[in-house]
Amino acid sequence: MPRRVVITGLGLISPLGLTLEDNWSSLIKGVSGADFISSFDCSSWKVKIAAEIKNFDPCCLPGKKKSIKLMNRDSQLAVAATHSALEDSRLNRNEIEPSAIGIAFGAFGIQYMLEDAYIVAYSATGRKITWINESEEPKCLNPIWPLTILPNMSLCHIAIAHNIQGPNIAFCSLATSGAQAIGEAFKLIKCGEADIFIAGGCSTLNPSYIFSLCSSGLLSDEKSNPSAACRPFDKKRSGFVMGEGAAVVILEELSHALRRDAPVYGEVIGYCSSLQGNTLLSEKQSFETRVEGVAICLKEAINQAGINPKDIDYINADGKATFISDWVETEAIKKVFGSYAYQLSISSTKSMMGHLLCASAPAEIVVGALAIREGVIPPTINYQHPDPCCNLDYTPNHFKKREVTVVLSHTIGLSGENAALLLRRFS
Amino acid sequence: MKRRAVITGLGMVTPLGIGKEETWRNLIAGKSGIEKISRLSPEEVSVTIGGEVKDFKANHFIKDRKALKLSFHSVHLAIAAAKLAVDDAEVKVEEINPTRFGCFIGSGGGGYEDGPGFPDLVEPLQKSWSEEKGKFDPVKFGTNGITSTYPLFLLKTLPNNAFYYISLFYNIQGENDNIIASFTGGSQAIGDAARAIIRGATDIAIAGGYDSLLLPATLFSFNHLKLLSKNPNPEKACRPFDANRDGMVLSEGAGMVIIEEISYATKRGAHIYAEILGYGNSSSAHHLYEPCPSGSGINIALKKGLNDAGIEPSAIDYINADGIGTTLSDRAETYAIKNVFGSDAYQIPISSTKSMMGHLGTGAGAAELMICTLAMQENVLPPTINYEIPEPDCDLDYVPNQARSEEIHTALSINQGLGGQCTCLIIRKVS
Repeated sequence: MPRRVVITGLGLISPLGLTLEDNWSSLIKGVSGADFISSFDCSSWKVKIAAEIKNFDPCCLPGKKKSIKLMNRDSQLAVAATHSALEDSRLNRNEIEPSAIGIAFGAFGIQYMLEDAYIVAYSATGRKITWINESEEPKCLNPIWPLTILPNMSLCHIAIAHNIQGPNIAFCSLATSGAQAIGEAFKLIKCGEADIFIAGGCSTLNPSYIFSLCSSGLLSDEKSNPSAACRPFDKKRSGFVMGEGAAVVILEELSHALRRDAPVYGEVIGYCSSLQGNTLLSEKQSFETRVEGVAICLKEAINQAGINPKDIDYINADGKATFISDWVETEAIKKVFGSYAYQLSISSTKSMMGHLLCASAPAEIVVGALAIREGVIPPTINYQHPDPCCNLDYTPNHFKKREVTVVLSHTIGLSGENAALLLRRFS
Repeated sequence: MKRRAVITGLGMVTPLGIGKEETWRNLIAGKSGIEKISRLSPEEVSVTIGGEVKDFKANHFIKDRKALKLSFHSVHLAIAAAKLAVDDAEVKVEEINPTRFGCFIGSGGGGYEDGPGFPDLVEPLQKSWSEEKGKFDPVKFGTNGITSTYPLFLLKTLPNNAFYYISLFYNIQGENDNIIASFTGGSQAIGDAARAIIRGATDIAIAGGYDSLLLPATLFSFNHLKLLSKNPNPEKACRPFDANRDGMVLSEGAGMVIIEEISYATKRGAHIYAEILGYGNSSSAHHLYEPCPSGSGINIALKKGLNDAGIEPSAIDYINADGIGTTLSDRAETYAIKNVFGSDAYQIPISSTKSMMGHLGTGAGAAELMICTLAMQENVLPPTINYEIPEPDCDLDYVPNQARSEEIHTALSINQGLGGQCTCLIIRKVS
């Protein structure tokens, strides 16, 4: 009998809250997590709005206090989200071999702060700074710096803090890496590599990435009203709002979960990740190619799940609120679902959380799992001006009660990657 | 019939040479590739020795000038290794179905080589320095810095840069992964590629890793964490398993292999080096940069690998150890090997080729697997050089100082990374 994979634990830290409950209540209330940037002085920057996590205190993390110092903020969020997911799954760690649990994690590229970049850049040109005189402030770099910026470090810290010794793999494809982490963990459990996987992703706000995403014209140009900045599918959408967060799901082989009477949120039934083209600057691609790329990914995931497109009730869309991407996504949904597209409930929770980058797909899977449990579709907020090109049911501004059996969670990367995951109510 | 993954092409760029022939010749001669680092001045960094790839000309391997400009030195090494592997496998890329051609690359987190795009940021960052505050000022960056920034700098910093160019140059559209890991990325990529081939997702793949650790920030940091050898004599500095070992020596390099499904390889008449038989992957969950004293991570990885291969520990004829040359790590590794192999541990020749090449970072796993492959083909074991004084805790057969002729059918390569990631790969002769 083929092995089946279910989700038995959720952990989410986002601009909307530090716990699952806080996140869910903000989501159904339609609260926005976006605000003026407070973590650095951006008064001269073009971008002034982001969705930051407030009140997160790394001191309450499990594990040794000393290791918290070795973590960057990404890893801190990842370890904390893993902690809540493990608690939520009610896994009795005393009964499970540390090597029976694996980790698949999506993380950003190297995470460096501009201050550190300055020091390293300066030295790279062979000027002035020496690496010998360590006392000469401020031109001294924290010696563990190269270790803190590595993208696989969140994974290592999770392993260390939670004593996870099984297979591990880190993904690094920006927006889709979190979805790939969950999808690959799903495959690995299916083929018997482990019974349990911790899968998810994390991202934090980094000025240098804000700057480069802004210069690519992807960020919202809203200046004065933070909560109205991210407007997916709305005619006046102008881009997304950067967010930070970490989201983790515990994936478990079905019989393992049933044996220990675990809470089951849903079953992962399909996954596809694909590249739609071979160019780094996907803006140059034609509209049709892009629609086709997204549609292929959705179709393949549905095929793999062996279900009918009409079985799907809710799409947690990518909806990153850039003009072209939302339109492409809408067209692709129409292409795959035909006339049924108009009966689907669709929403973009990025309208509230902001774009959590590597954590966005896992966060949206968490939202999907909760939507199944609660029978409620969270809204797309800031939807005020209908766009004739985007005319599906985006669950505008208010949540909607609807029995949800199958959720499709879909992510479009910034350079042509696509990933789709399907989650079904377990019965 | 069960699908099998075999190695048909080897491409390596290491401090011991460009290409497998030169590297192998130096390896069995017991030559060290460690020298004074020529491209860094001692005024900059207190670490002066490392394994540089010598006489490497990027434009010899990369004709696309834009690609040269938009990528770092380590990515150039990766592209060169991929080219060597493709040439070695004598595969006609245009005859491969692009959607059945996979690409699995391990990278150490992108070019934080010279900093992530940092040379491009020097000027803008200088303009953002606040003399009053004595530090970087984001407000100044917004007004003066941004306008003078090279707009494509971010592309260079992406950790999948090498992956992108390799898949572009060889028109690879099939199953792919870009794995990020410190040091184990290359072996993870090869392990995953073999699995993708076995489960039928792809028929042929380029897989491997690349890195350059010879960067001021990395050298500074590793030195500060007391991981590096203080030995001033470059050739003698890396002494794995020797009683006087005092740390790692950092290097740069890349290793790429061509892996194919066995029937695919036989059909096109390819030379088959070896079959990838088993892969194990685990985490020691102990500390960010200190090894777990019991070697538990390696222990688990070894057991998983042997189990995956479906063989007994005694079937292993040669181990290419991680053997980085620090007191703690070599001891833990020896301990783990003894734990898994029992009394057989004393019969199995083990060598650490890092004694000659230094640590290739994420390129290490791939390069060392290729060394196993070559050892198997030539039936010669490369030595562990600088092994002079035995230590009671490290009392196995480390093939000291001299290469040795021995029949090898099955070989094992072990790798460990920062953060406790551990891998092992097992290969076997195909008869």
